Amino acid sequence: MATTGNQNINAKLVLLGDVGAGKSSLVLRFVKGQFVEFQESTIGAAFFSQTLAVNDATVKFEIWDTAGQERYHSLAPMYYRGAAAAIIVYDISNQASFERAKKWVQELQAQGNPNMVMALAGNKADLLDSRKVTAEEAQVYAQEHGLFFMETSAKTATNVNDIFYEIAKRLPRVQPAPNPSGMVLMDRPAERTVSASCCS
Amino acid sequence: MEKKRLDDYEPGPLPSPRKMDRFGFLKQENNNPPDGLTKGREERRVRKWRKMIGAGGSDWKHYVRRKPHVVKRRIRKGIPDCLRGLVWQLISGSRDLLLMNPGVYEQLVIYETSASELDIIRDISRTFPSHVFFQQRHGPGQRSLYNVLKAYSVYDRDVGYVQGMGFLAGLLLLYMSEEDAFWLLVALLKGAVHAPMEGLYQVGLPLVQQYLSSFDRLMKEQMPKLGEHFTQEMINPSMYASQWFITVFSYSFPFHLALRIWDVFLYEGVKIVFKVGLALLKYCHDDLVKLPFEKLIHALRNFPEDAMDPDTLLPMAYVIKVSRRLEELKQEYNKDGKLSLPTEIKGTEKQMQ
Repeated sequence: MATTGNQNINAKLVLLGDVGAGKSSLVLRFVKGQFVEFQESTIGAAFFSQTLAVNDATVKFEIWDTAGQERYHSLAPMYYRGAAAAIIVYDISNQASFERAKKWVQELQAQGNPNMVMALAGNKADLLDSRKVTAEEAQVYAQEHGLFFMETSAKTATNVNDIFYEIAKRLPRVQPAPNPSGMVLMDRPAERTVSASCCS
Repeated sequence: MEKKRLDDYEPGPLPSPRKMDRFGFLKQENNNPPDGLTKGREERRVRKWRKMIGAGGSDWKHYVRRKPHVVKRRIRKGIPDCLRGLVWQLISGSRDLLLMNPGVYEQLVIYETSASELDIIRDISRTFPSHVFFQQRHGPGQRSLYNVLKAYSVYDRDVGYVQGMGFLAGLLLLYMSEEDAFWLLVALLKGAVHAPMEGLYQVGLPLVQQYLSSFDRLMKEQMPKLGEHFTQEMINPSMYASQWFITVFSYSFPFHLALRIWDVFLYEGVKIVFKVGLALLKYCHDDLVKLPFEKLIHALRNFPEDAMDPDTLLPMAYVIKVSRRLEELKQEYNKDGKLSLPTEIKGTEKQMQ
C-alpha cells in the first residue's frame, strides 16, 4: 500500500548495545556532527532528533540512546517498545560486545515490534589494528537474522549518515491504522504526520 | 612508580585559570556560579561553622544533639566549601565507619580482585571528563576513582559496579581522600544514618523504580495540570528523572547546585531529591505545560540557568512537603504497585488508564 508523493514520516529509533560500544557517539555524530574521545557515560537514556530526506519522503528520527550496562536492562523495554527502528551497536575491537549485540537482537526479535527495521553497526571501524570481529562474521550473522549490517566509525564519520539513511529507506511507507494502546512512546495524540512507528 | 607519576603531575603548570570555573570544571559556557556572599560574611560564616564542628569534628555530635535545628538551617544555607569534605563525613556517618574499620579499605584495594574491574576501567575516562582532576589519563583523579569503585565492587559483590556510581564517587573525591570517599559511599548505600540506597543499583534497579513511581504520583498530585499534560504527551518520569535519583543530581547538573543539594541530601536524606525535582518542575511549570513532546524532553534535560540558581531553587524545594506522602506511597508501592505492573512500563501504563 505504498503511497505516492512526498511523505513526512516520524520514526522512533532506539540504540542498544554494550557499554562503550559507541551508541552516544554515533548519535552525536549523526545529530550534531561532533565527536569527543571521552564521551560521558549515559545514565538512564537520552533523547535526540534529526531529520533526513530520502527519495520519496522526509524522515524525522526520534532517537532514544540508552545506557549500555547490563544492570540497566530493566529500563530498556520502554524505549524499544513501539520503536520503528533499532541500531544495535558493537565495537569491532571487542568480541564480548558482539556477543552482547546478538543478545539484543534476540530480545528484539522476541519482544519488539515485528516490523522493526533493525541495523547492526560494527562501530569503531577506524580501529583496524585491534579488530576482533571480522566484517564477514558480522555480515553472515546479520543476513541470517534479517538485519542489515554496516561497519561505522563515529570518530571518522564513516557510514554514520549512511546507516541512518539506509534505515530511512527501509521504513514502511504505509499509512498505519490508528495506534492501538500499549505502545509506549509513540502513542501520543497524532500531531502532524504519518507515523512509521508501528503496526501490531 | 605511582609516587613518581603523582609528583610529575602535581607541580605541573595548571591550565590557564580563565578556562576553569572555581570547582575545576573546564568552562564551556559562561556559567560562573554567582558567589552570593561577600568576603567578610563568608569569613564570619566559616568561623561559626568551625566553632560548631570543633577541632577535627570533636564537638560536632554534641552540637547536633543540642541544636539540631540550627544545624539543619545552616546546612540548608550551604556548607562553606573549605569545610565541606569534613562536614559531609560527619553528617553521613562515614567518619564513624572509617574509624571502626581500620585497614579495610587498603585490603580491598590492594589484595582483592573484582569481577567489575574491566567495566570500571571502561568508564573511568567517561566520568566527569570535563574536570581537570579526572581528565588526565591514569592521573591521580582517575586512579582514585578506580580504586574507590573497585573497592566498593569487592565490598558489596552483589551490587558490584554500576554506571552512575562513578559520578557519586567522583563528586566525593573532589572533597576528600579515597578512603574517606569509599566509606561515605558505604554509608550511603548501606544506610548509616538514612535509608540504604543500594536498591538504586541492585539487579532490576528496584529503588529507582520505586522512586520514579512515587515521583510520578507526587508530581501529579501537586501539579495536576502539568501531570495531565505529561500524560497527554506520554512523558514518563523515567525519561528525565532516573538520573536524578541514580546520581543524586551529580550527573549533568551544574556543579555548584549539585554541591548544595548534596549538603542537604547527606543530612536530611533522599527526600531532598524529590523536593528539588518537584521544585524544578514548579519553577518551569508555565513553560512546560505549553510544550509538545520533543521540546518537553529537551526542556526537562536543560533547565534554564535561573532555575539552576541554588538560592532560588532550594528555598522553593524546602517548602515542598513530601515526607508523609512518600512514606504512604512507599507502603502502597510495596503492597501492590510492583506486583500488578510489569516493572519496565509501569509509569506509562498507569498513565493510560
